[in-house]
Amino acid sequence: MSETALVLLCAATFIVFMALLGRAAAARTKHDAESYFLADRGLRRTVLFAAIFGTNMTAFVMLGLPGVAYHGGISIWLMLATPLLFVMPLSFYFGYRCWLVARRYGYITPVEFYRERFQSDGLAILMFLGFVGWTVPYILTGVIGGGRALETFTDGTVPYWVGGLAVTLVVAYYTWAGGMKATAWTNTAQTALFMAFLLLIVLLVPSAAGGTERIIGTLQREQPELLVRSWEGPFSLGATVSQLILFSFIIFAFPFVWVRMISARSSKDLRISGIAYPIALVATWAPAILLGLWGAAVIRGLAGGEADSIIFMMTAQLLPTWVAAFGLVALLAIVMSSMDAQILTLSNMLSRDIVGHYRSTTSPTEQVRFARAFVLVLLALTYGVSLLDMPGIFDVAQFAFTGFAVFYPLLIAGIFWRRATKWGAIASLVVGQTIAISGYLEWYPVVGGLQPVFWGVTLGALSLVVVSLLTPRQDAAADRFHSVWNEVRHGKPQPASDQGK
Amino acid sequence: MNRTRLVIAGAIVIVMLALQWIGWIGSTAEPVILGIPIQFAYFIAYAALSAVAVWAIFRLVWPARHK
Repeated sequence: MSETALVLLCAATFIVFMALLGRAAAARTKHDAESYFLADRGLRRTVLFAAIFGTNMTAFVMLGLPGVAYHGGISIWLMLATPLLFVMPLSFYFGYRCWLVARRYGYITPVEFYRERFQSDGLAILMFLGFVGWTVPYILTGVIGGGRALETFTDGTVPYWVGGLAVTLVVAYYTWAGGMKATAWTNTAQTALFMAFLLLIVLLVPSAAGGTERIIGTLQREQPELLVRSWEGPFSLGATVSQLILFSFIIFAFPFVWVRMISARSSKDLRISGIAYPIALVATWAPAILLGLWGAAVIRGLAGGEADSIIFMMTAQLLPTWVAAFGLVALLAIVMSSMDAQILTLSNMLSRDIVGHYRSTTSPTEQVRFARAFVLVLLALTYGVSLLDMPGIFDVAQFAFTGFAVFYPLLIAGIFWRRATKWGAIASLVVGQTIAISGYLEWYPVVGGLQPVFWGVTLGALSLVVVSLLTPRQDAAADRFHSVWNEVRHGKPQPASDQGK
Repeated sequence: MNRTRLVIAGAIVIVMLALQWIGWIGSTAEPVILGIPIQFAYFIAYAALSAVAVWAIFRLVWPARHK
Protein backbone atom coordinates (compact mmCIF):
# COMPACT_ATOMS: atom_id res chain seq x y z
CA MET A 1 0.00 0.00 0.00
CA SER A 2 1.38 3.43 -0.94
CA GLU A 3 2.02 6.05 1.72
CA THR A 4 -0.75 8.30 0.39
CA ALA A 5 -3.23 5.43 0.32
CA LEU A 6 -2.44 4.56 3.95
CA VAL A 7 -2.85 8.18 5.02
CA LEU A 8 -6.15 8.45 3.14
CA LEU A 9 -7.42 5.19 4.62
CA CYS A 10 -6.65 6.37 8.17
CA ALA A 11 -8.29 9.75 7.58
CA ALA A 12 -11.38 8.13 6.03
CA THR A 13 -11.65 5.63 8.91
CA PHE A 14 -11.45 8.46 11.43
CA ILE A 15 -14.11 10.50 9.64
CA VAL A 16 -16.49 7.52 9.42
CA PHE A 17 -15.87 6.76 13.13
CA MET A 18 -16.79 10.33 14.06
CA ALA A 19 -19.97 10.14 11.97
CA LEU A 20 -20.95 6.85 13.63
CA LEU A 21 -20.34 8.27 17.10
CA GLY A 22 -22.54 11.23 16.16
CA ARG A 23 -25.23 8.88 14.93
CA ALA A 24 -25.13 6.86 18.15
CA ALA A 25 -25.40 10.03 20.22
CA ALA A 26 -28.26 11.30 18.06
CA ALA A 27 -30.22 8.12 18.81
CA ARG A 28 -30.01 9.05 22.51
CA THR A 29 -30.83 12.73 22.06
CA LYS A 30 -34.39 13.95 22.47
CA HIS A 31 -35.85 16.88 20.55
CA ASP A 32 -36.08 19.28 23.48
CA ALA A 33 -33.69 22.14 24.22
CA GLU A 34 -32.08 20.67 27.37
CA SER A 35 -31.29 17.45 25.57
CA TYR A 36 -29.95 18.93 22.36
CA PHE A 37 -28.08 21.91 23.81
CA LEU A 38 -26.90 20.45 27.13
CA ALA A 39 -27.04 16.66 26.80
CA ASP A 40 -29.81 16.68 29.46
CA ARG A 41 -27.31 18.36 31.83
CA GLY A 42 -25.84 14.90 32.22
CA LEU A 43 -22.16 15.00 31.19
CA ARG A 44 -20.04 12.96 33.59
CA ARG A 45 -16.38 12.57 34.55
CA THR A 46 -14.31 11.63 31.51
CA VAL A 47 -16.78 12.86 28.93
CA LEU A 48 -17.28 16.18 30.69
CA PHE A 49 -13.55 16.68 31.08
CA ALA A 50 -12.78 15.71 27.47
CA ALA A 51 -15.60 17.94 26.20
CA ILE A 52 -14.06 20.93 27.99
CA PHE A 53 -10.40 20.10 27.46
CA GLY A 54 -10.82 18.99 23.83
CA THR A 55 -12.73 22.16 23.02
CA ASN A 56 -10.00 24.26 24.57
CA MET A 57 -7.16 22.55 22.68
CA THR A 58 -6.90 23.85 19.13
CA ALA A 59 -4.59 23.14 16.20
CA PHE A 60 -2.26 25.73 17.78
CA VAL A 61 -1.02 22.97 20.13
CA MET A 62 0.36 20.93 17.23
CA LEU A 63 1.19 23.66 14.76
CA GLY A 64 1.84 26.98 16.51
CA LEU A 65 3.30 25.92 19.85
CA PRO A 66 6.12 23.70 18.54
CA GLY A 67 7.08 26.53 16.18
CA VAL A 68 7.34 28.95 19.10
CA ALA A 69 9.49 26.44 21.03
CA TYR A 70 11.65 25.87 17.94
CA HIS A 71 12.53 29.57 17.78
CA GLY A 72 12.17 30.62 21.43
CA GLY A 73 12.96 27.47 23.44
CA ILE A 74 11.31 26.63 26.74
CA SER A 75 10.41 30.24 27.60
CA ILE A 76 6.87 29.98 26.23
CA TRP A 77 6.07 27.16 28.65
CA LEU A 78 7.60 28.85 31.67
CA MET A 79 5.77 32.07 30.86
CA LEU A 80 2.40 30.31 30.69
CA ALA A 81 2.85 27.78 33.49
CA THR A 82 1.13 29.72 36.26
CA PRO A 83 -2.02 30.71 34.40
CA LEU A 84 -2.41 27.42 32.61
CA LEU A 85 -1.50 24.99 35.36
CA PHE A 86 -2.69 26.70 38.48
CA VAL A 87 -4.89 29.75 37.97
CA MET A 88 -6.96 28.57 35.00
CA PRO A 89 -8.30 25.43 36.74
CA LEU A 90 -9.85 27.72 39.36
CA SER A 91 -12.29 28.73 36.61
CA PHE A 92 -14.13 25.51 37.34
CA TYR A 93 -15.25 27.06 40.62
CA PHE A 94 -16.74 29.97 38.69
CA GLY A 95 -18.36 27.38 36.45
CA TYR A 96 -19.80 25.69 39.52
CA ARG A 97 -21.55 28.90 40.61
CA CYS A 98 -23.01 29.29 37.11
CA TRP A 99 -23.95 25.60 37.08
CA LEU A 100 -25.99 25.99 40.28
CA VAL A 101 -27.98 28.97 39.01
CA ALA A 102 -28.38 27.68 35.45
CA ARG A 103 -29.77 24.43 36.80
CA ARG A 104 -32.16 26.17 39.16
CA TYR A 105 -33.61 28.56 36.58
CA GLY A 106 -33.09 26.52 33.40
CA TYR A 107 -30.56 28.78 31.69
CA ILE A 108 -28.73 27.39 28.69
CA THR A 109 -26.46 30.13 27.32
CA PRO A 110 -24.13 32.66 28.98
CA VAL A 111 -25.99 35.49 27.24
CA GLU A 112 -29.27 34.33 28.78
CA PHE A 113 -27.61 33.92 32.19
CA TYR A 114 -26.15 37.44 32.28
CA ARG A 115 -29.24 39.00 30.72
CA GLU A 116 -31.20 37.76 33.71
CA ARG A 117 -28.50 38.65 36.22
CA PHE A 118 -28.30 42.25 34.97
CA GLN A 119 -31.87 42.51 33.64
CA SER A 120 -30.67 44.05 30.39
CA ASP A 121 -31.47 43.19 26.79
CA GLY A 122 -28.89 45.75 25.64
CA LEU A 123 -26.10 44.00 27.52
CA ALA A 124 -27.28 40.66 26.14
CA ILE A 125 -27.08 41.96 22.56
CA LEU A 126 -23.57 43.34 23.15
CA MET A 127 -22.43 40.06 24.67
CA PHE A 128 -23.94 38.11 21.81
CA LEU A 129 -22.19 40.26 19.21
CA GLY A 130 -18.88 40.03 21.07
CA PHE A 131 -19.05 36.26 21.46
CA VAL A 132 -20.06 35.74 17.82
CA GLY A 133 -17.48 38.19 16.49
CA TRP A 134 -14.57 36.46 18.22
CA THR A 135 -15.80 32.89 17.67
CA VAL A 136 -16.32 33.04 13.90
CA PRO A 137 -12.61 33.54 12.99
CA TYR A 138 -11.83 30.61 15.26
CA ILE A 139 -14.19 28.28 13.40
CA LEU A 140 -12.80 29.53 10.11
CA THR A 141 -9.26 28.58 11.06
CA GLY A 142 -10.51 25.08 11.89
CA VAL A 143 -11.90 24.57 8.38
CA ILE A 144 -8.77 26.07 6.79
CA GLY A 145 -6.47 23.98 9.04
CA GLY A 146 -8.35 20.76 8.24
CA GLY A 147 -8.25 21.44 4.48
CA ARG A 148 -4.56 22.28 4.51
CA ALA A 149 -3.67 19.24 6.63
CA LEU A 150 -5.42 16.81 4.30
CA GLU A 151 -3.83 18.46 1.25
CA THR A 152 -0.31 18.39 2.73
CA PHE A 153 -0.44 14.86 4.14
CA THR A 154 -1.73 13.36 0.89
CA ASP A 155 0.75 15.31 -1.26
CA GLY A 156 -2.09 17.14 -2.97
CA THR A 157 -4.13 14.03 -3.80
CA VAL A 158 -6.89 15.55 -1.67
CA PRO A 159 -7.09 19.20 -2.74
CA TYR A 160 -7.65 21.92 -0.16
CA TRP A 161 -11.30 22.45 -1.08
CA VAL A 162 -12.10 18.74 -0.73
CA GLY A 163 -10.26 18.45 2.60
CA GLY A 164 -12.04 21.48 4.05
CA LEU A 165 -15.36 20.16 2.75
CA ALA A 166 -14.80 16.73 4.32
CA VAL A 167 -14.02 18.26 7.72
CA THR A 168 -17.00 20.63 7.45
CA LEU A 169 -19.41 17.89 6.43
CA VAL A 170 -18.52 15.46 9.18
CA VAL A 171 -18.65 18.16 11.87
CA ALA A 172 -21.94 19.41 10.42
CA TYR A 173 -23.41 15.90 10.48
CA TYR A 174 -22.65 14.92 14.04
CA THR A 175 -23.32 18.38 15.50
CA TRP A 176 -26.62 18.67 13.61
CA ALA A 177 -27.71 15.17 14.53
CA GLY A 178 -26.66 14.76 18.16
CA GLY A 179 -26.04 18.27 19.53
CA MET A 180 -24.12 18.46 22.80
CA LYS A 181 -24.08 14.72 23.41
CA ALA A 182 -22.57 14.04 19.99
CA THR A 183 -19.93 16.74 20.35
CA ALA A 184 -19.05 15.53 23.87
CA TRP A 185 -18.70 11.92 22.76
CA THR A 186 -16.65 12.79 19.70
CA ASN A 187 -14.52 15.16 21.80
CA THR A 188 -13.72 12.27 24.13
CA ALA A 189 -12.44 10.14 21.26
CA GLN A 190 -10.66 13.12 19.67
CA THR A 191 -8.93 14.09 22.91
CA ALA A 192 -7.73 10.52 23.44
CA LEU A 193 -6.37 10.45 19.87
CA PHE A 194 -4.41 13.70 19.88
CA MET A 195 -2.99 13.09 23.36
CA ALA A 196 -1.98 9.54 22.41
CA PHE A 197 -0.24 10.81 19.28
CA LEU A 198 1.77 13.45 21.14
CA LEU A 199 2.78 11.03 23.89
CA LEU A 200 3.74 8.42 21.29
CA ILE A 201 5.99 10.62 19.20
CA VAL A 202 7.66 12.29 22.16
CA LEU A 203 8.91 8.78 22.93
CA LEU A 204 9.68 7.71 19.35
CA VAL A 205 11.40 10.82 17.99
CA PRO A 206 14.38 10.91 20.40
CA SER A 207 15.28 7.25 19.80
CA ALA A 208 14.99 7.74 16.03
CA ALA A 209 17.15 10.88 16.23
CA GLY A 210 20.00 9.32 18.21
CA GLY A 211 18.82 9.88 21.77
CA THR A 212 17.94 12.88 23.90
CA GLU A 213 21.54 13.34 25.11
CA ARG A 214 22.74 13.81 21.57
CA ILE A 215 19.89 16.20 20.71
CA ILE A 216 20.36 18.28 23.84
CA GLY A 217 24.15 18.20 23.44
CA THR A 218 23.70 19.84 20.05
CA LEU A 219 21.45 22.49 21.54
CA GLN A 220 23.84 23.19 24.43
CA ARG A 221 26.68 23.73 21.97
CA GLU A 222 24.84 25.67 19.31
CA GLN A 223 21.70 27.27 20.81
CA PRO A 224 22.03 27.25 24.62
CA GLU A 225 19.66 30.22 24.84
CA LEU A 226 16.76 27.85 23.98
CA LEU A 227 17.27 25.95 27.23
CA VAL A 228 16.74 28.84 29.62
CA ARG A 229 13.95 31.24 30.41
CA SER A 230 14.37 34.39 28.35
CA TRP A 231 13.21 37.77 29.64
CA GLU A 232 13.50 39.54 26.30
CA GLY A 233 11.01 40.47 23.56
CA PRO A 234 7.86 38.33 23.65
CA PHE A 235 8.92 36.85 27.02
CA SER A 236 9.53 40.17 28.82
CA LEU A 237 8.07 40.93 32.25
CA GLY A 238 5.30 43.07 30.71
CA ALA A 239 4.43 40.28 28.29
CA THR A 240 4.48 37.74 31.15
CA VAL A 241 2.03 39.83 33.19
CA SER A 242 -0.18 40.27 30.13
CA GLN A 243 -0.19 36.54 29.42
CA LEU A 244 -0.95 35.82 33.06
CA ILE A 245 -4.09 37.92 32.74
CA LEU A 246 -4.91 36.59 29.29
CA PHE A 247 -4.85 32.91 30.23
CA SER A 248 -5.98 33.09 33.85
CA PHE A 249 -9.69 32.58 33.32
CA ILE A 250 -9.94 32.31 29.56
CA ILE A 251 -11.87 29.02 29.62
CA PHE A 252 -14.56 30.70 31.69
CA ALA A 253 -14.82 33.49 29.10
CA PHE A 254 -15.24 31.09 26.18
CA PRO A 255 -19.00 30.71 25.67
CA PHE A 256 -18.44 27.26 24.16
CA VAL A 257 -16.70 26.11 27.37
CA TRP A 258 -19.19 27.87 29.66
CA VAL A 259 -22.03 25.89 28.09
CA ARG A 260 -20.15 22.64 28.65
CA MET A 261 -19.53 23.49 32.28
CA ILE A 262 -23.23 23.95 32.97
CA SER A 263 -23.88 20.62 31.22
CA ALA A 264 -22.16 18.77 34.10
CA ARG A 265 -24.25 16.13 35.78
CA SER A 266 -22.98 16.96 39.25
CA SER A 267 -20.73 19.50 40.90
CA LYS A 268 -18.33 16.68 41.76
CA ASP A 269 -17.82 15.96 38.06
CA LEU A 270 -16.98 19.61 37.52
CA ARG A 271 -14.56 19.63 40.44
CA ILE A 272 -12.74 16.56 39.14
CA SER A 273 -12.35 18.24 35.74
CA GLY A 274 -10.65 21.20 37.41
CA ILE A 275 -8.21 18.99 39.28
CA ALA A 276 -7.38 16.90 36.21
CA TYR A 277 -6.83 19.97 34.04
CA PRO A 278 -3.14 20.69 34.91
CA ILE A 279 -2.13 17.07 34.44
CA ALA A 280 -3.82 16.77 31.06
CA LEU A 281 -2.34 20.07 29.98
CA VAL A 282 1.17 18.88 30.74
CA ALA A 283 0.50 15.61 28.91
CA THR A 284 -0.50 17.67 25.85
CA TRP A 285 1.67 20.79 25.91
CA ALA A 286 4.92 19.33 27.25
CA PRO A 287 5.36 16.91 24.31
CA ALA A 288 4.48 19.67 21.82
CA ILE A 289 7.06 22.05 23.31
CA LEU A 290 9.76 19.39 23.78
CA LEU A 291 9.33 18.27 20.18
CA GLY A 292 9.64 21.87 18.98
CA LEU A 293 12.76 22.30 21.12
CA TRP A 294 14.34 19.04 19.96
CA GLY A 295 13.36 19.93 16.39
CA ALA A 296 15.70 22.91 16.54
CA ALA A 297 18.56 20.40 16.77
CA VAL A 298 17.17 17.71 14.44
CA ILE A 299 16.03 19.87 11.50
CA ARG A 300 17.96 23.11 11.56
CA GLY A 301 17.53 26.39 9.78
CA LEU A 302 13.74 26.67 9.49
CA ALA A 303 12.62 30.27 9.21
CA GLY A 304 9.45 31.87 10.64
CA GLY A 305 6.24 29.94 10.08
CA GLU A 306 8.07 27.00 8.48
CA ALA A 307 8.82 25.73 11.98
CA ASP A 308 5.11 25.47 12.83
CA SER A 309 5.04 22.05 11.14
CA ILE A 310 8.18 20.79 12.88
CA ILE A 311 6.37 17.89 14.57
CA PHE A 312 5.08 16.58 11.27
CA MET A 313 8.41 17.19 9.52
CA MET A 314 10.21 15.06 12.10
CA THR A 315 7.48 12.44 11.94
CA ALA A 316 7.81 12.20 8.15
CA GLN A 317 11.61 12.21 8.24
CA LEU A 318 12.27 9.88 11.16
CA LEU A 319 9.28 7.61 11.70
CA PRO A 320 7.26 5.00 9.73
CA THR A 321 4.37 6.04 7.49
CA TRP A 322 1.72 4.76 9.88
CA VAL A 323 2.89 7.29 12.46
CA ALA A 324 2.51 10.09 9.90
CA ALA A 325 -1.00 8.82 9.14
CA PHE A 326 -1.74 8.81 12.88
CA GLY A 327 -0.44 12.38 12.93
CA LEU A 328 -3.01 13.46 10.37
CA VAL A 329 -5.79 11.80 12.36
CA ALA A 330 -4.56 13.55 15.52
CA LEU A 331 -4.48 16.90 13.74
CA LEU A 332 -7.99 16.43 12.35
CA ALA A 333 -9.12 15.37 15.84
CA ILE A 334 -7.77 18.48 17.53
CA VAL A 335 -9.26 20.72 14.81
CA MET A 336 -12.72 19.13 15.00
CA SER A 337 -12.80 19.03 18.81
CA SER A 338 -12.88 22.82 18.90
CA MET A 339 -14.94 23.48 15.77
CA ASP A 340 -17.94 21.39 16.78
CA ALA A 341 -18.31 23.04 20.18
CA GLN A 342 -17.97 26.51 18.71
CA ILE A 343 -20.52 25.96 15.97
CA LEU A 344 -22.99 24.31 18.38
CA THR A 345 -22.70 27.20 20.83
CA LEU A 346 -23.15 29.83 18.13
CA SER A 347 -26.27 28.05 16.87
CA ASN A 348 -27.44 27.64 20.44
CA MET A 349 -27.09 31.39 21.14
CA LEU A 350 -28.71 32.38 17.83
CA SER A 351 -31.62 30.11 18.49
CA ARG A 352 -32.14 30.84 22.22
CA ASP A 353 -30.95 34.41 22.62
CA ILE A 354 -32.20 35.88 19.38
CA VAL A 355 -35.00 33.75 17.89
CA GLY A 356 -36.29 32.35 21.18
CA HIS A 357 -36.10 35.65 23.05
CA TYR A 358 -37.48 38.00 20.40
CA ARG A 359 -40.02 35.59 18.89
CA SER A 360 -41.86 34.62 22.02
CA THR A 361 -44.06 32.06 20.30
CA THR A 362 -41.05 29.82 19.59
CA SER A 363 -41.32 26.60 21.60
CA PRO A 364 -38.21 24.80 22.93
CA THR A 365 -38.67 22.12 20.27
CA GLU A 366 -38.75 24.79 17.57
CA GLN A 367 -35.61 26.34 19.07
CA VAL A 368 -33.84 23.02 18.53
CA ARG A 369 -35.10 22.97 14.95
CA PHE A 370 -33.77 26.48 14.40
CA ALA A 371 -30.45 25.58 16.01
CA ARG A 372 -30.04 22.56 13.75
CA ALA A 373 -30.71 24.74 10.72
CA PHE A 374 -28.21 27.32 12.01
CA VAL A 375 -25.53 24.61 12.39
CA LEU A 376 -25.84 23.81 8.70
CA VAL A 377 -26.14 27.42 7.51
CA LEU A 378 -23.22 28.67 9.63
CA LEU A 379 -20.95 25.83 8.55
CA ALA A 380 -21.90 26.35 4.89
CA LEU A 381 -21.06 30.05 5.21
CA THR A 382 -17.82 29.27 7.03
CA TYR A 383 -16.79 26.80 4.38
CA GLY A 384 -17.58 29.33 1.62
CA VAL A 385 -15.46 32.00 3.33
CA SER A 386 -12.64 29.49 3.89
CA LEU A 387 -12.27 29.20 0.11
CA LEU A 388 -11.43 32.89 -0.11
CA ASP A 389 -7.84 33.95 0.31
CA MET A 390 -7.85 35.61 3.75
CA PRO A 391 -4.25 35.79 4.98
CA GLY A 392 -5.11 37.83 8.10
CA ILE A 393 -7.64 35.38 9.50
CA PHE A 394 -5.13 33.46 11.66
CA ASP A 395 -3.99 36.72 13.24
CA VAL A 396 -7.59 37.61 14.08
CA ALA A 397 -8.20 34.13 15.53
CA GLN A 398 -5.06 34.38 17.65
CA PHE A 399 -6.11 37.81 18.85
CA ALA A 400 -9.59 36.46 19.70
CA PHE A 401 -8.24 35.41 23.11
CA THR A 402 -7.92 39.09 23.98
CA GLY A 403 -11.46 39.73 22.74
CA PHE A 404 -12.80 37.01 25.05
CA ALA A 405 -10.56 37.99 27.98
CA VAL A 406 -12.00 41.50 28.22
CA PHE A 407 -15.30 39.84 29.21
CA TYR A 408 -13.68 38.82 32.54
CA PRO A 409 -14.81 41.81 34.64
CA LEU A 410 -18.48 41.46 33.84
CA LEU A 411 -18.49 37.65 33.87
CA ILE A 412 -16.79 37.47 37.27
CA ALA A 413 -18.54 40.46 38.86
CA GLY A 414 -21.87 39.01 37.74
CA ILE A 415 -21.39 35.94 39.94
CA PHE A 416 -19.52 37.47 42.90
CA TRP A 417 -20.43 41.14 43.33
CA ARG A 418 -24.00 42.02 44.27
CA ARG A 419 -23.43 45.72 43.63
CA ALA A 420 -22.52 45.22 39.96
CA THR A 421 -25.14 46.85 37.73
CA LYS A 422 -26.10 46.59 34.10
CA TRP A 423 -24.61 50.01 33.34
CA GLY A 424 -21.33 48.95 34.92
CA ALA A 425 -21.36 45.73 32.90
CA ILE A 426 -22.13 47.58 29.65
CA ALA A 427 -19.41 50.16 30.34
CA SER A 428 -16.90 47.41 31.07
CA LEU A 429 -17.74 45.58 27.86
CA VAL A 430 -17.66 48.68 25.67
CA VAL A 431 -14.37 49.93 27.16
CA GLY A 432 -12.77 46.49 27.07
CA GLN A 433 -13.77 45.71 23.50
CA THR A 434 -12.78 49.17 22.27
CA ILE A 435 -9.32 48.79 23.82
CA ALA A 436 -8.98 45.24 22.47
CA ILE A 437 -9.97 46.13 18.90
CA SER A 438 -7.92 49.33 18.78
CA GLY A 439 -4.96 47.36 20.21
CA TYR A 440 -5.29 44.83 17.43
CA LEU A 441 -5.31 47.69 14.91
CA GLU A 442 -2.19 49.06 16.68
CA TRP A 443 -3.79 52.43 17.34
CA TYR A 444 -1.72 52.81 20.52
CA PRO A 445 1.84 51.75 21.34
CA VAL A 446 2.90 48.80 23.51
CA VAL A 447 4.41 50.27 26.69
CA GLY A 448 6.70 48.12 28.85
CA GLY A 449 5.65 44.98 27.01
CA LEU A 450 2.09 45.32 28.37
CA GLN A 451 -0.28 44.02 25.71
CA PRO A 452 -3.86 45.18 24.88
CA VAL A 453 -5.32 42.50 27.16
CA PHE A 454 -3.72 44.15 30.19
CA TRP A 455 -5.31 47.52 29.43
CA GLY A 456 -8.61 46.02 28.29
CA VAL A 457 -9.13 43.95 31.45
CA THR A 458 -7.86 46.49 33.99
CA LEU A 459 -9.67 49.50 32.50
CA GLY A 460 -12.75 47.36 31.86
CA ALA A 461 -12.76 46.28 35.52
CA LEU A 462 -12.27 49.87 36.66
CA SER A 463 -15.17 51.03 34.47
CA LEU A 464 -17.39 48.31 35.88
CA VAL A 465 -16.67 49.28 39.48
CA VAL A 466 -16.97 53.05 39.00
CA VAL A 467 -20.10 52.99 36.84
CA SER A 468 -21.79 50.37 39.04
CA LEU A 469 -21.24 52.50 42.12
CA LEU A 470 -22.65 55.56 40.34
CA THR A 471 -25.80 53.84 39.05
CA PRO A 472 -28.87 52.46 40.87
CA ARG A 473 -28.54 49.12 42.61
CA GLN A 474 -30.20 46.02 41.12
CA ASP A 475 -30.81 44.22 44.37
CA ALA A 476 -33.74 42.10 43.24
CA ALA A 477 -31.87 40.66 40.25
CA ALA A 478 -28.71 40.09 42.30
CA ASP A 479 -30.65 38.47 45.16
CA ARG A 480 -32.26 36.01 42.80
CA PHE A 481 -28.82 34.64 41.93
CA HIS A 482 -27.07 35.07 45.27
CA SER A 483 -29.90 33.33 47.11
CA VAL A 484 -29.00 30.14 45.25
CA TRP A 485 -25.35 30.36 46.28
CA ASN A 486 -26.27 31.32 49.84
CA GLU A 487 -28.50 28.27 50.15
CA VAL A 488 -25.55 26.05 49.35
CA ARG A 489 -23.14 27.98 51.52
CA HIS A 490 -25.46 27.90 54.53
CA GLY A 491 -26.18 24.23 54.25
CA LYS A 492 -29.67 24.26 52.80
CA PRO A 493 -30.53 21.64 50.17
CA GLN A 494 -28.96 21.99 46.73
CA PRO A 495 -30.92 21.46 43.53
CA ALA A 496 -32.54 18.06 43.66
CA SER A 497 -30.63 16.91 40.63
CA ASP A 498 -27.30 17.17 42.50
CA GLN A 499 -28.38 15.10 45.45
CA GLY A 500 -27.31 11.55 45.79
CA LYS A 501 -24.67 11.78 43.05
CA MET B 1 -17.97 31.28 54.22
CA ASN B 2 -15.56 30.59 57.07
CA ARG B 3 -12.85 33.27 57.17
CA THR B 4 -10.16 30.77 58.17
CA ARG B 5 -10.88 28.70 55.08
CA LEU B 6 -10.55 31.76 52.88
CA VAL B 7 -7.24 32.70 54.49
CA ILE B 8 -5.83 29.19 53.97
CA ALA B 9 -7.02 29.18 50.34
CA GLY B 10 -5.38 32.59 49.83
CA ALA B 11 -2.15 31.29 51.36
CA ILE B 12 -2.11 28.37 48.92
CA VAL B 13 -2.55 30.78 46.01
CA ILE B 14 0.36 32.92 47.22
CA VAL B 15 2.62 29.89 47.72
CA MET B 16 1.84 28.64 44.21
CA LEU B 17 2.61 32.03 42.69
CA ALA B 18 5.84 32.22 44.68
CA LEU B 19 6.87 28.76 43.51
CA GLN B 20 6.45 29.96 39.96
CA TRP B 21 8.95 32.76 40.52
CA ILE B 22 11.36 30.47 42.36
CA GLY B 23 11.38 28.28 39.25
CA TRP B 24 12.78 31.18 37.24
CA ILE B 25 15.68 31.92 39.59
CA GLY B 26 19.05 30.98 38.15
CA SER B 27 17.82 31.10 34.60
CA THR B 28 21.31 31.57 33.18
CA ALA B 29 22.21 27.89 33.74
CA GLU B 30 20.90 25.16 31.50
CA PRO B 31 21.32 21.76 33.20
CA VAL B 32 19.38 18.94 31.55
CA ILE B 33 17.77 15.82 33.01
CA LEU B 34 16.93 12.99 30.57
CA GLY B 35 16.83 15.41 27.66
CA ILE B 36 14.55 17.83 29.48
CA PRO B 37 15.88 21.25 30.56
CA ILE B 38 15.82 21.53 34.35
CA GLN B 39 13.48 24.53 34.42
CA PHE B 40 11.08 22.74 32.13
CA ALA B 41 11.17 19.66 34.38
CA TYR B 42 10.47 21.91 37.39
CA PHE B 43 7.28 23.12 35.78
CA ILE B 44 6.17 19.61 34.92
CA ALA B 45 6.41 18.81 38.64
CA TYR B 46 4.56 22.09 39.24
CA ALA B 47 1.60 20.63 37.33
CA ALA B 48 1.32 17.74 39.78
CA LEU B 49 1.52 20.21 42.64
CA SER B 50 -1.11 22.36 40.93
CA ALA B 51 -3.58 19.49 40.87
CA VAL B 52 -3.09 19.02 44.63
CA ALA B 53 -3.32 22.76 45.28
CA VAL B 54 -6.49 23.13 43.18
CA TRP B 55 -8.01 20.15 44.99
CA ALA B 56 -7.18 21.77 48.35
CA ILE B 57 -8.64 25.12 47.33
CA PHE B 58 -11.81 23.47 46.05
CA ARG B 59 -12.16 21.63 49.38
CA LEU B 60 -11.82 24.92 51.21
CA VAL B 61 -14.11 27.16 49.15
CA TRP B 62 -16.45 24.73 47.39
CA PRO B 63 -19.13 23.67 49.89
CA ALA B 64 -19.72 19.98 50.56
CA ARG B 65 -22.66 18.64 48.57
CA HIS B 66 -24.64 16.98 51.32
CA LYS B 67 -24.65 19.62 54.01
